[in-house]
Amino acid sequence: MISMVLELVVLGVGALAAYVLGARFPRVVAGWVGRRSGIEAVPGPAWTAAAKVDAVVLDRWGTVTTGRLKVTTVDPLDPDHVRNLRWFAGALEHEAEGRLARAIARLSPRGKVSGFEQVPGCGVLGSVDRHPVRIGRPAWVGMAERNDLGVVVGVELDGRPLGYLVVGDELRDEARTAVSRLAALGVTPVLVSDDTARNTEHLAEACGIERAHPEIAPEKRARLVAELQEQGHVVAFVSSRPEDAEAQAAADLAVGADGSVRLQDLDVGRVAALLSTARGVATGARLAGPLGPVPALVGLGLAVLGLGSVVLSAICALLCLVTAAAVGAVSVMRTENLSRT
Amino acid sequence: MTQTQRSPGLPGSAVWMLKSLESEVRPIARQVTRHLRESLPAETEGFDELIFTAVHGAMSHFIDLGLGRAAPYTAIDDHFRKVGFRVAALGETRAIVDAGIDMATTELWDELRRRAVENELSAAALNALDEMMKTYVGHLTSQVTAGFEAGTEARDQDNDVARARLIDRMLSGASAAEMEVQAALGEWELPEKVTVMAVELRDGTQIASGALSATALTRRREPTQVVICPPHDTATITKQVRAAAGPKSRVSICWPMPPEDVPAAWRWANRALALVNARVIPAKPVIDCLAYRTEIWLHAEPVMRRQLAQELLEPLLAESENSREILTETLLVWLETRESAPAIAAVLGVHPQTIRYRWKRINELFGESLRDPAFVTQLLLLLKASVPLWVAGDQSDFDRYQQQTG
Repeated sequence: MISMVLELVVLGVGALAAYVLGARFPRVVAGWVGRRSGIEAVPGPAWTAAAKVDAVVLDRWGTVTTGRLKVTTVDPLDPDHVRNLRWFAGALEHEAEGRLARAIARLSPRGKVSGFEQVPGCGVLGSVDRHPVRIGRPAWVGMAERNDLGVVVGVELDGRPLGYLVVGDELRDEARTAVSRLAALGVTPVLVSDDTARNTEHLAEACGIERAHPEIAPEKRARLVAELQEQGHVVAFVSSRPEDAEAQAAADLAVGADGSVRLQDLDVGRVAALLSTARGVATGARLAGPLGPVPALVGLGLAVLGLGSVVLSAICALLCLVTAAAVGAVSVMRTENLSRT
Repeated sequence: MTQTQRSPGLPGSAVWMLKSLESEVRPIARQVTRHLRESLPAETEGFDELIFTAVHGAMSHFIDLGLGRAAPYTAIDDHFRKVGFRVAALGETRAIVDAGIDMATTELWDELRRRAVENELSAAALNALDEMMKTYVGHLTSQVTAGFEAGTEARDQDNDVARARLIDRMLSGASAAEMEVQAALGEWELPEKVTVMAVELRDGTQIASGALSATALTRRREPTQVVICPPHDTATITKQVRAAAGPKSRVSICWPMPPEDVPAAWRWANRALALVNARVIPAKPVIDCLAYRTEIWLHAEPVMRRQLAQELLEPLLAESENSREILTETLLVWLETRESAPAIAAVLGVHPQTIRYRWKRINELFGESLRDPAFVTQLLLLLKASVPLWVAGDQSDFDRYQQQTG
């Protein structure tokens, strides 16, 4: 009789532990697995919120793009001046700040620059190896305007027009695939951008996003989030810009900047992995609780039939914990693997 | 000559006319003196009082003689001998005195004739006056001759004057024989080679010959003061020159040259000083011309350099100041080295692509001319001469170009 009672106690503790810990195992596994995917920190409640997200607002910088701009076209007025255009423009822009300047600066190494000056609303000027250079709006440097995609700047050297540079977004290689993974998860991607409508539409099209909001100011972004929520969406807001704090606060899940979820970067692929893993966590938590105590039920049956023993009950209790852990891990791993495909 | 001449027995009308002149001797003498100063060479500057005294004295004495007064020759003879002596002692030629006497005589005779016409003087009276005047002028001329000969003798015995003449002869390219004679008179040993210095003095100072060793010859000779010495004494003399000329002075020393080449050495030494002032040559207290031979040579013909610059460098002159400067700098290094873009970039401290860009611009400006060896040689010499001037701030080439092109 004493033996029977002891067997039941062991089985009960095992089943209870499996039920309680079963809800936490998936988060632990997701934490381990997520670090491999660049998911650095996700608070417990955030996993739950992330699992429910069905609309992701992606800021242009750092999500579908690398966060940098790149020179897409180098177009000298005289074809012989290609290298001169790259050299003089790049050398001067090393002195300037901002994404546009950094994109042009990557065209050449640093040079000897003197008299550097930024003219607000127009461009920059200075001398490279004592040659006066101006880079800015084509009209400012006395050149005809152009209608290329991206930002067009004119370059003037020694008082003569040298050529045009066109600077555009540097799209992430896997952006389109990652966006399609979001879609596969049933998540609607929404692109918000401070760029022109034309450039934003082009960027959205390039990465397969159907809904884009160009030239949208930070205060309007919070309103956009509210609108999505009113439409019944659970919204995640992904941005690295401090100006988006209000919108992130309004969203159900904030990723990046001061948001609760911290990723290695805001690559849309990483965002998709986060959401996918979160769903695995939710599934794991949902299954591990009920399935974890199953070995205890088996042990109980054996005890009732008189086939049990204390040792056998202990093994069943242990199996409860193993089952809960296995179910959680499999759920997370499965979704993590799915998110990669 | 101390005799008192009797009245020449002039006709009464001539005597009356001379008498009427007596009160006007001073203004006429002043007028003649002024005309003489205007006509005679610059060397007679400072002779005004001497000339006036001579003219005034001669006129007064002549009138006294014409009026039959007792007029001793002593004072006037002495004065004209002094004139001759002073001119000789200063190393000037006798021709200056003769020209002065001729001009004064002509002017005074014109005055006499004008008055003779006004007073309806007879031809006989005028002839008598003419005879008397010729005799009188002849007498004065002989006094000048005597004084000049005495002055010449004294001058030849005067070491300083002889040396001053030697400097003049050397600088004017006299023959070796003539220089040897003058050197012997000045007791200066003429070496096989001499060092010529040009001393740029400040505040109108001069270096006295006594301030230098006896082996040095020196004299003020515009635009500077010349110093000539044997080569082995150059260092010592240079120190003495520096001490005598003061801290603000500058000495340009030409390398040793044969005496017959002293004019060239003098020109080069002065050219070096001019180049210092043009900031082509570094401004040091002592300029060793040997170290700047190329610059002196390149700037030997400033007008030709200027004309060639207008002709050959026209494409560059049309550029902006900054562009012109950097393209010229690059072109000059390329002409001198014929190196690759990276090598020229290393010399100029810029990026190789900058050099490639500049080279493209240079080719656009000069075109096929850069493949003509003769043009390239001229260009190299011209740039070597012009760039230091431009760098020193000389804008004359560009101003001239702008004036010509409007």
